[in-house]
Amino acid sequence: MVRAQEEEHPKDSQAAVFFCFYLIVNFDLVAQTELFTIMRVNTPNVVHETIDGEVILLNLRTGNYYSFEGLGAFIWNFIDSEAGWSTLPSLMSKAYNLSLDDVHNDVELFVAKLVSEELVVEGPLVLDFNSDNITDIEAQMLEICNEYIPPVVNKYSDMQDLLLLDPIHDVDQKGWPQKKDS
Amino acid sequence: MINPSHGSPFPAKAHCALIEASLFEGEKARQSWQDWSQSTDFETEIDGPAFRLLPLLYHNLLRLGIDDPLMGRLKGIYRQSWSSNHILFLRAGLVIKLLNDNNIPVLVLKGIALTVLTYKNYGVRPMSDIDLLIKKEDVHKALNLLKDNDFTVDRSQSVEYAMRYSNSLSLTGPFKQELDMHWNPIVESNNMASKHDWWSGALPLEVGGQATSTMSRENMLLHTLVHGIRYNPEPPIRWIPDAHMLVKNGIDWKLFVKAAIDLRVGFLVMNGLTFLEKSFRAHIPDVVFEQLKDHGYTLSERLAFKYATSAKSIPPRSWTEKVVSNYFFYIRQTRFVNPIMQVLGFLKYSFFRLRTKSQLVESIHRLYSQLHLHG
Repeated sequence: MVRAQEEEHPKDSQAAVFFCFYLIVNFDLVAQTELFTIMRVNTPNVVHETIDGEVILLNLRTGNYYSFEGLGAFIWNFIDSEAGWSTLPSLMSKAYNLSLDDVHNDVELFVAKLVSEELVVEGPLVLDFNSDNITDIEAQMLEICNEYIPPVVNKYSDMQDLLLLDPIHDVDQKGWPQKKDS
Repeated sequence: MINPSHGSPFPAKAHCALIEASLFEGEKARQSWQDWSQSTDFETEIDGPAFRLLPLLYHNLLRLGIDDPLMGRLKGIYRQSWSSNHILFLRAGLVIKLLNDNNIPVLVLKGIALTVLTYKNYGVRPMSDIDLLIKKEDVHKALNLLKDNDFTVDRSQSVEYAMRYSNSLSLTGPFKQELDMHWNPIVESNNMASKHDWWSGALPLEVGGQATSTMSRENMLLHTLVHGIRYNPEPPIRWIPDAHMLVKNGIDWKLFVKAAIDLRVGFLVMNGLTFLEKSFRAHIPDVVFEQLKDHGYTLSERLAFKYATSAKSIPPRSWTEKVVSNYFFYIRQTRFVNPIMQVLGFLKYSFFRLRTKSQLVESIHRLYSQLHLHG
């Protein structure tokens, strides 16, 4: 699979220890999350690429096209790296200074949509946290989205019709598959 | 010096700027983008060849950090190409599996192979058909298999004629998916099986979840040049970025030159590489040009190149144009050095072509054969 942007996650032997340490220190934040429901991208049915900060996806089984931007793209790439997505609400809540309940709810809705669209399935946990990359993750998150905008799944059905759309004249300024009138 | 005319495989100024903006680095690419975007009306002046380069253009502009109001729609064209290609790859994977399961060896050609091994990106090179290479002895078996799986041979083609004088058949499958089934990548190698093996040095790759192979990089470059450098009402300029990327990824020039000479396409290859080097800064060692020149070219090679790159009506309209067109198609694949053999061969070819294209001539031929048998 070709990906325009891939993130590397060092898997040193101390990762698990650091992660446990993180959980203990931030126990109040992570306690409310349903930890360790681990997701992975539903390959080979789903193909995806990150281009200019936007994740584009195709479910080859259903023929539906999807895109995510901002925090949605961030969460997707987090899941793709086989990290435990369920720790993200606590990181987000801390980074954006919001209540964990609100953030948790938004992220769960987003991930539930990914599950219902068969874009992700349950997968193995790869413990790849350490204290450095938790700081990195927060920094990346704020760089992608400096203010909190709940993650959204943009879905486009009828791929056969979409492929026939003239991508110069029948689309708005954001480009295919966004039709001019919509 | 090549003077580009409309339909020439050597692009005119506007197309050159677009290719430069799509391939080059830094300031040169920025300047070419400025030149192209200021001289081309995006709403009305994007022709087919230019449109096919827009995903590659977008990818390069993004890399260069270009900010422009057109970037949204260019990104959309990239997204559409990426989606369409993934669907095509899935369908190609099913065809490959079908052939593999029936012990028919396959090599994938053109866009699919270039996407995976050369561009390494599913969005930058749009394509509409699946191109496969199989062995000539497997053609009938593959045809029957594909027909059993809802593929049809396009009506205008005669299988008998194609098997004898062409290198491929076009089929249409489920979802109107076009499939070009080749037994030779180029007609120039139709009678050269002993001289050149397209299967040698095949490279593994995965298409739509199926393990398969494609030609070596040297064979891919040769195929790209010979297939791309010919006149077409829609200028076939895509051969330039394809060849440029192949050269950039590394070529065993010794193998490449030997194949070009063996297949007697040295003159065309020489012109193509010279153009790539002079106009698009492709790094081609001097020794390649020296070896091609030293070997010399046959008159047939020169004539075939001249005819292939000159303006003409497609399809040919008058009788004279048809005869000339058929003659050059014939010499592309035979390359007889002996002029008498060439004329006799062409007469035989013309009769066979008439027979397979015209029911009247076919009926006369059958009647003659029956009379001959009974008499």
